[in-house]
Order: sequence, then structure tokens, then C-alpha cells
Amino acid sequence: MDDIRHDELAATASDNPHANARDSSPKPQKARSIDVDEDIAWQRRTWMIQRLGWLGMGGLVLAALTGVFGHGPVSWQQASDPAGLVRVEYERFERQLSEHTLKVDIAPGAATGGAVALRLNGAFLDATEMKEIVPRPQEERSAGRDVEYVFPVARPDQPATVRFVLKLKEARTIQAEIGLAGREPARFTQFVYP
Amino acid sequence: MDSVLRAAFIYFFLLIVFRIAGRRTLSEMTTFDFVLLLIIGEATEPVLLGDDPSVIHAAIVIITLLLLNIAMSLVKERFKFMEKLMDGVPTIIVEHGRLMQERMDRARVSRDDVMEAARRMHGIERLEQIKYAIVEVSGGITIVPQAEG
Repeated sequence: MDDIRHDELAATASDNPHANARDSSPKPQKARSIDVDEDIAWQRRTWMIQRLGWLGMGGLVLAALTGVFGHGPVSWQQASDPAGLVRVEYERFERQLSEHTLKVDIAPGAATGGAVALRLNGAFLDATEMKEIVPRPQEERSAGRDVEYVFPVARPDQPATVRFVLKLKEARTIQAEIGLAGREPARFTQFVYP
Repeated sequence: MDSVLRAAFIYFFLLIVFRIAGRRTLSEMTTFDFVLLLIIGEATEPVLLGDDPSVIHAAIVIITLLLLNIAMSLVKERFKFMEKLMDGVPTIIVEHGRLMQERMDRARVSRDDVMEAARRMHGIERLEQIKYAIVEVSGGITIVPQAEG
């Protein structure tokens, strides 16, 4: 209603008392004596953008609840190797340097000679900082760029679970391959937020 | 390099988020607003410092933030547009004792807020005694009383 052209007003010194003379208010009888650097068109645009911003913020919170930023239902995923012997529970979306647990379930019968050897690919290990492995491997051996962890298994007829507590150091997409030594691994992709 | 980028990201992120949240949000500080501000500070701290508690790191982060603030004030000084973009503009919400309701709704200012400011600053009793009420860039309400007589 009282759209004031302020670009020029703003350009001049705002403490100039004559600046108001150029205030082309639609209601001349209400020409303002007050020298306020008002720009209601700008202010309305600001209000509108703020409303949109609130919606955006609400959307972000809802998205965070679903887990697209990690640690939520959308993020919780499983991957299996083609033989179905290894199943990895992982997070599709992880966060840089946040400590989390990768759970590897090994089907009964996968163990040979009282031990099972899990192979993790080098690209994945490059991006991770291993904090702890439960149970502790009895042996860790290098296999090219990959590393094989050998775990003792008390009951080979029972499923076994190995937990890797780790941090992902780099914010990027990481291709992981986890499987039994000498077999096709379970492959999965993790995206790491900074 | 990392710490400078992190500090810069946080600076601009907070700048944008607080601009979107609007000026009423933290200007009239209630006790809870103050607590909220502390929590926001707590949430920001590990991002800025991470797992590097060295003196040099803290110094880099602090200097980066201060330098950014100086740079932004210079930019605002130089370009009026940037000042409007970052700080907003004042808005008149009462004119000659008449409430501009639509603007007040948008600015999230109630009649009570206006009257409170009027009482506090000028001991004004009635709305008609207000010539202008303005929501300032800082978020406070300024009252210009009607001339006597």
C-alpha cells in the first residue's frame, strides 16, 4: 500500500531530512515526518523468504528423522554376499568421524577348522579408522590391498557375529566389500557426510 | 586449511539460519532464548574445534571468525544492498496511533509488545499517544510519541 522507493533513498545519507520529500507515498496527506530507512517491498520479500525458509527447516528436520542424514530407518541397510553366507548390517549414510558399529553375521558352516576369515577391501580400510573389533581377530593378514581378519569360532554349527567399531575418516562415497576369504564378498556403498 | 573452512562454513551457516529464523527470534531474550543460544554454541563447538584442542587451532578459528566479521562489516559499509540482505530493514508497524496489523502479524509483533515498549520508553498509556512504532533491524521496537497538544 505504501510502497516506498528506497533504492535512491538508501543511496543518499539517511540522516538527510529532505530525503523524505522524495518518499512517493500513495497517501500524500500522511507524508511521514519520520526519517526511517524503510523498504516495505524488501521487507515483504524477506518475510516471504523467511516463511519458505521455515518450511525448508521443517523439511530438513523431517528428513533427518527418516535417516537420510544417517542414523535412521532409511539409512539402516543390509547387504549379503551371493552365497548368502555373510550378511552385513551397515548405514547407507554415515557421518565423518562419527563412531559406529558395522555388524557382520556369518552363517553356520562358513567356518573351517574352527576359524572364519573375513576379508575387507583396501578402499574401505583406507577410509576407515578401526577402533575395535569384537571378537578380537586371532590373526590379521594382508592380502594385496585387502586385509583378512581371522576369527576363532567356538561353535561352527551356530551363526557367528563380528562387530567392527569404526570411524569413517573421509567425507565421500565409499565402496565396501566384506566377505569370506576366497569367496565373492558382500558389496555395499556408504555415503559419508562431512 | 580445514579449520579455516569449517569456521567459515559455520559463520555463513549461522548467518543464513538466523536471518531465516527472523529478527524476533532472539532479539527479545527470554531466559529460555538465552539457554537456547548456549546450546547452539555447544553444538557448534565440536565442529569448530573437532578433536584438535591445540592452542594454534583455537587461535586460527577465532581469528578466522573475527576476520570474517570485520570483512562482512566492510562489505555492508560498501554495499547497501548487502546490508539489507544481511541485516534487513526497519519496518513501521504503528502510524499515528493506527496499528498496521498485517505487518505486525508478519513481523510477529503483538499489540502488547508495542504497548510494552511504549510504556518502557515513554510512559505512554494509550495507543493513540504513539506516533510511530518501528521494528528496528536489531529486533527491538522503537516508539516515537505523538507530540503533545
